[in-house]
Amino acid sequence: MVLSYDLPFQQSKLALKLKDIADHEVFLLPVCQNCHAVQYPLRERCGTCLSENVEWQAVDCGGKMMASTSVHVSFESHFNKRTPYHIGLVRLDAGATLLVYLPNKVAPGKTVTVKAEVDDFGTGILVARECGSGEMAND
Amino acid sequence: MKSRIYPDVAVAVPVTVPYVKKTDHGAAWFIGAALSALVEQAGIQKEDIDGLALASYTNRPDSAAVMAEYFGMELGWLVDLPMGGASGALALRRAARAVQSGEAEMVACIGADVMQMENFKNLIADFSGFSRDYVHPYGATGPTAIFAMITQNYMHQYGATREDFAKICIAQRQAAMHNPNALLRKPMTLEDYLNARMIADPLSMLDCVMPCCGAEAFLVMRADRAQKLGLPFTRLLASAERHNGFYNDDIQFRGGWARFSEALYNDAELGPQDMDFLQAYDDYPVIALMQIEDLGFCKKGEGPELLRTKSLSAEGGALPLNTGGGQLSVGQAGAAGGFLGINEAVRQLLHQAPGLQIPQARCGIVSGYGYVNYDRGLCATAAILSNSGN
Repeated sequence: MVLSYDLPFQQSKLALKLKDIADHEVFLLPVCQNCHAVQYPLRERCGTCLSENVEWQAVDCGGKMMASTSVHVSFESHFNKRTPYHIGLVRLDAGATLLVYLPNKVAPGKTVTVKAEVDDFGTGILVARECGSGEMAND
Repeated sequence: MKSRIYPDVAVAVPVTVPYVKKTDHGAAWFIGAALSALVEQAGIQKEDIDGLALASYTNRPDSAAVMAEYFGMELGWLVDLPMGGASGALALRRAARAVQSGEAEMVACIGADVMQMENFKNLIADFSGFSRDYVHPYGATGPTAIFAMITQNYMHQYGATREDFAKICIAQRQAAMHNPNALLRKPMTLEDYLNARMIADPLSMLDCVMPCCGAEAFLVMRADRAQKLGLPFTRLLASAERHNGFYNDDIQFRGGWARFSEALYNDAELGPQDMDFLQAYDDYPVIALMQIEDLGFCKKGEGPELLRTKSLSAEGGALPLNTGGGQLSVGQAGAAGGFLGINEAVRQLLHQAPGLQIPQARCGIVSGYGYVNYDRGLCATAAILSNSGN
């Protein structure tokens, strides 16, 4: 179900791409073709070697949960409708720190898998689930 | 004490435009109020100010140049600093070099914002490219959720507890109770802290600064000018900045301070043991604790033990921290929050503290931190100030 909510600003063209790649069979992110650095937050040009040769490609979706929080109060009323909700920081094995949505809270140090999904508000976001938790995507 | 890095640079006339929770005025009103107070308290003419370093989020889209027009000033030196909590020390550093080189004679450094709730909400909704695209859509509206994760990681790595962070919040509240400019002066107990409404665990309401409206300002000039004007002044002994420090760390557990603290103390020819106080940037207690560690008051990871064994009080504490109450109890008037610690430091050294005064305060350190763009703050600053020795 898509709730009626528009972000209070226009997302960049690059960020909107997360919606296009949502629910792909493989996890895609921009990767520098010169130095192989994974680009997240998404970058049009490599944040490591500055190359412009950055392409979306399949990336290992495994990572480690660094930290998470349950948000109880938000400044935005539409987010307050779904409190408490969980978000976390995942260190991707492929090398990048991802801010992710967590359908269920995950303890620090646990291994997770990440995928791009479209949320209730129609925004492309990254979602992480604990490995072996039996959680299904789109649950 | 005289500085070998900034010889003859004076920092004087600390001004606070009283903080309020709400106002009908715009940011320019507060900037003008700060300028007016600087002129009046320094006993100078507006025309004597030939440099302006300004930090304000809510004055946008107007820049510092627009303020020159607004307030009828002709300036030979101008900087606009959109680095939030780091902007105070950045203003001080740049102004010090300007007067040293002769590019400016008298620089007004001002942080001012009208950060009532609605403005704060608008600011964080569209703060930066990365935050708009990769933070806000997750409901991490504002930096609190990010700091909740930084705090959780710190607790996990170093065994800190909520009771440890309470020490910072309670000590600062006790200081604020003596500071007439603090918006939050109600006594806080450990029970109050532990039972406070949870915002994003482990951070509760009492771990978060309250956005408000106000301004902080000071003047930077040559020491001989300050003497001629009869102004009590402090000296800048050393200062440093580091942006995007340790950017390869998976999650923030230290800041750019750890990169420069040794060189900073060397420049000042002093060590942490010589500091009579630390005015640390305290948008959340975990960040103040990182500054305690990274600025050498204890080793990394020993912060919780320091909090358990040492007093942070201005009244005889081993490490007087944020002696006016800090932003956690005074309020965070946007970018003025980056100037608050500098003004408290200057006032302590001039023995003009509005609240608790550290007896015989001779020198101290003030640090800044700002610009939470994605998963951490990007800008770290620090300055060591001393009394003029006159």
